[in-house]
Amino acid sequence: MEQPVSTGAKDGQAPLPIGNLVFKLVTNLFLLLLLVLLGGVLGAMVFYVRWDEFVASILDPESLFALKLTAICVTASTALCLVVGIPVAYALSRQQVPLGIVVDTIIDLPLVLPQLIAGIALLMFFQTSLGVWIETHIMGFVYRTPGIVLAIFFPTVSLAVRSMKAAFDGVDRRYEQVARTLGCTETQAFWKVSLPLARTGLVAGTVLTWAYSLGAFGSILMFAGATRYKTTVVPIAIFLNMTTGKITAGLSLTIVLLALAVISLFAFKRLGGRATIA
Amino acid sequence: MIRICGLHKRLGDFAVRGVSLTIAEKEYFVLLGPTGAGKTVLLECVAGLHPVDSGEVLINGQRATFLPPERRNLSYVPQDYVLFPHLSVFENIAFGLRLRRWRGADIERRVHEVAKMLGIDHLLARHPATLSGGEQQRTALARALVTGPTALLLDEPLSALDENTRVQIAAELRSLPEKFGTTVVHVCHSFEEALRVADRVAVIHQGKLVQIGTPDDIFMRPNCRFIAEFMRVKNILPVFSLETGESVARCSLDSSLTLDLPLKPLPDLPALLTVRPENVILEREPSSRVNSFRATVAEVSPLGSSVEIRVTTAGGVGIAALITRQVDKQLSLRPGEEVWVSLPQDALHLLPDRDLPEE
Amino acid sequence: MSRRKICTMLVVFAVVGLTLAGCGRRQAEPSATTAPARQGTAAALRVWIPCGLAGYMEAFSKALTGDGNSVFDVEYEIVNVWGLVEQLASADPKPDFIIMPGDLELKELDAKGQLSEKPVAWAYNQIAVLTPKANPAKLESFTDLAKATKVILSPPSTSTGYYAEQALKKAGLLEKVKKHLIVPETPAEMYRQLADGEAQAALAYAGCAFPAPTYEKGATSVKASNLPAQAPEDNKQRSVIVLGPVPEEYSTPFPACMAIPKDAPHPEWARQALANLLSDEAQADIALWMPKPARETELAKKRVGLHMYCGAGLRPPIEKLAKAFEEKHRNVRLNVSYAGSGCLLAQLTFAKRGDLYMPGEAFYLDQAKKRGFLVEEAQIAYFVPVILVAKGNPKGVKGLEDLLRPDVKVGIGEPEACAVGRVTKIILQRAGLWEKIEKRQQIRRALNVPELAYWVSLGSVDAAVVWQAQAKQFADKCDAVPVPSKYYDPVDISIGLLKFSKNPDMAQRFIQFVSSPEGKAVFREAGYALEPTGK
Repeated sequence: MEQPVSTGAKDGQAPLPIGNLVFKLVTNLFLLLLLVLLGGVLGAMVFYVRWDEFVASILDPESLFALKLTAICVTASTALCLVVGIPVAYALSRQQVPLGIVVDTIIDLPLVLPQLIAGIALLMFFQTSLGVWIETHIMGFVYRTPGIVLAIFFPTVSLAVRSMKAAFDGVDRRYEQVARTLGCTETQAFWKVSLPLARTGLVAGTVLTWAYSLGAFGSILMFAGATRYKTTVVPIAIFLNMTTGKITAGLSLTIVLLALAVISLFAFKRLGGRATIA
Repeated sequence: MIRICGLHKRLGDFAVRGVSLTIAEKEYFVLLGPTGAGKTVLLECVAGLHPVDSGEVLINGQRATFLPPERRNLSYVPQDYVLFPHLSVFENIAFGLRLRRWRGADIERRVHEVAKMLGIDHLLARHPATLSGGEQQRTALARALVTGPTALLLDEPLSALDENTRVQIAAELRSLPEKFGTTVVHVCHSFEEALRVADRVAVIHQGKLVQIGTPDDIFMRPNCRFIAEFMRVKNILPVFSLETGESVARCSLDSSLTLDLPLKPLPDLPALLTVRPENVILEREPSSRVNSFRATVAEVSPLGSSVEIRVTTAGGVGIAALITRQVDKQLSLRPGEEVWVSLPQDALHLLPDRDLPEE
Repeated sequence: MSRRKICTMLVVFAVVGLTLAGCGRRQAEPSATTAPARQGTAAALRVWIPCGLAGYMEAFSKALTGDGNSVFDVEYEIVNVWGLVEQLASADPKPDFIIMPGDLELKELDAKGQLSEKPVAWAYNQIAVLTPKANPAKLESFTDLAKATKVILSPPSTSTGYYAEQALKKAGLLEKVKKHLIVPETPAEMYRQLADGEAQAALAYAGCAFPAPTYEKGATSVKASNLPAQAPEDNKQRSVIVLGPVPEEYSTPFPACMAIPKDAPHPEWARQALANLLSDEAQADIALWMPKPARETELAKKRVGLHMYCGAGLRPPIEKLAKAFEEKHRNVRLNVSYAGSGCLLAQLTFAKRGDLYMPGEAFYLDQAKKRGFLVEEAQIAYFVPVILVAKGNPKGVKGLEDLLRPDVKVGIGEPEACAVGRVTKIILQRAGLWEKIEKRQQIRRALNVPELAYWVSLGSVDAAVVWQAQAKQFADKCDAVPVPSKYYDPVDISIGLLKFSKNPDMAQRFIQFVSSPEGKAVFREAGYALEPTGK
């Protein structure tokens, strides 16, 4: 039995109990600092607005329109993310994709791209012949309401793929293998086994995608424009309010946005989501 | 009947290198081998979960090499059963039947029938997470058997169970071919488990088939040093000389120790003589047994239910013997004491001195 | 005025026999349509127009003169439809041309032999439901009028009154409505009653929702030139809304007619104007603001969408103007996209589409011009710098000198980053304060105007030089202290027509609208100067 050295940690063998305490104290102090900082900053914003002003600005037709449009566009984009994200996530999770790391990187790129640039990229794409063809034959996007969905979708889909891949990664392949030997085709195995087993993760991923979409701004500003009663989703409405001095209206919408984010992030955590943004 | 011909498959660190074997109908067949031998890969290739690099798999005479798993009619039960956690026990078992579009009443009847045979009919409403290991195993078996597969592919079915359950389940597994009329292919790494259940055993090592035969063949008559060691024969003695006499073959281990063997075709030298330690007879007094000689006790190690005693002959050959506690009490041997050793003729086995059989 | 006279002489020559006249006139007066009414010109077609159509004078001028290609000018006289027959009888001289929102009045005149020819439809009009902005009776459709307790109808002798009554009869509402009917004395009275909420609804035509020129009670007509400026004051402009036309099952569109009275002084011009009003171009234009043109033309069927890039700071005036423009041109959708001027420049550079660009700073318009994106530009207004202080001016900042006071925290725009910063620097340099200010410790630099305004409104600085337009936006939290104009040069704001535009005509029309006195008034209201202020 070795006695802990009590006269200093020169030999570095047994860390001092006092050292442990200090370390713990310091880490917790920083945690507290960050919490106070975040709480203070967000709180200051929330309490700047009086309750009656808040209600009045939220009930303003323009705010209501922004909220409605946001709900529709964010949900549409999230649905699109699901439609695209689930197959992609499944493919990435289950196959050895050739040049996997390249594919993975390409899929992650929109996440690190500044949203403004994502919007510009979309604008540029719709100047190409393919883009023009889409605009004339399928649907107009540039500076139009459907453009919002695309502008949200583009930077968000990576996150959706990422979180949904995590959900599928969490489902042991052997569930599918067993299902296959029991008579499932690959498609049946996906619908009957992988999808139900990944469900919680997928729901969490969906919630996260939805929450993240709420904040999309730069890409919408660039690609769909900030046109009143047309592309004014909440972040755009906040921007327009802020640039013309309607602080209260802007902050009120921000508070609604925050509340929605809090609810959905909380749901995401409760559902045990594990996606990381990286 | 399942036939595997020259099957090759690389899968990460694991590989199967040219295995050929035939598994008969309703046979209980064990693929035995140390960890990393490639036996699971082989099993999964048979199940159709991996495309093979080369070679063929035939099921009931039909070429199945490129059939997808769902069209092979083989049921696969992985090591930890992977019951579907989102389905009840009943739905787990009914899974294959629903895919085959059975009618609801038929499913009900069949699931209850199989569950009853496996003694889990009282668990049908529960969810897999609430089951014990043995119950999970039985559910997995029921799910696999319910569709009447050509063969049941079991990957280490006993390794996740505690000792008592293991014995019980092993006995149940043994009865499956008879009860359900199905072939069973069982992968394991423990030769005791293999001997307990198998009709035939194939030993796999480094992706190759080393020896195939009845448990007795493998246990008593290893065909190479690897099998002998894997079967814990313990006494693997180099042969000094071999000669064929009139009624017996004579085998010398050194100048002073010559043993008589039944007359059989003898291997070429260099060769090894094996005798399982539990077949070695120790006595205080000389006896009239054949192949009896004197030796000195070198070490006594109690092993619980038995006692291992290592002796050394005058010529320096070391032999291990495994005796019961009862015998040990009677002999009460101590290191340094003299003892008479007899090696029964039918316990002696000669094999060529090689690590693995030639290609 | 001398130029006008030369112009007039040229015109007279042209009448004699030269088809070149149109070109000559165009040279002399490039923006004819922005001056709707010209007074005292010998060569003017005198047009009677009812007050409900007066809001469209500009459009009529353009249509009647064939987009300025005719030899004559147009002079209006606003008349009260409800007494047209008497007015015409006593008029001296007679007008050249009468435009009406319906057909009955002119048919009556025709029956009395006061017209030189039968009246001709220039468009089709439709009875619409008008309500005060607040819509106190919560009406949603024509049939909801059963709920309303105070409804305005024109006298039954007029087209509007007659067709409205027919519609009510058809819907079985006439008896109900008649119980609490209000019949005002003049159309202007009707507008006022709606605007002030004295009535809950009116059955009239959509044009009556515009603030008509007001005129003296009792007067039968008013010269357009005597009208007060037609600037839509904010509250007035929004006070009456068009709920929608009466469904066709109750009332089909009726002809809106025009006619040339007997003894018209310039009958050839009048006939020319009549033809002009029926031309494809004019009819397409009419289709924009009337329920139906007299003739369906390909041009009129087109729905026009305009996209405008607008600096976010200009939103208050532009939003109002865009709305007013859309009300005038009902097949036009003007989508205004607001963002930082630089951001917008990037957008239009990459998207290569859009029709109009109005950045907050001339610098960006120059950039767009350098890149060859502009076809045309028009100068609209000027920024006015002010010192922004907290409400009530607690620090007592009275002028630029106070920015040096140690107890006053000052925010300035970064001269390199934004126009307001550049101007602030010039102002302070001319006031001889720049170096002293720069040396001060307590000075915060912002990258844009809203930032400065936020600082002042949140109290993190006590004073900052910003544009008066921002000061107006922050008026509930801040006050503005004027900066003497000798200290700065005018900073102008312009709008540009983009070469990508697919509807340059309509885009140009918006530019004209913004440059019109009406448009400029909105800018003045929002805190911009119309004449160059400063040195």
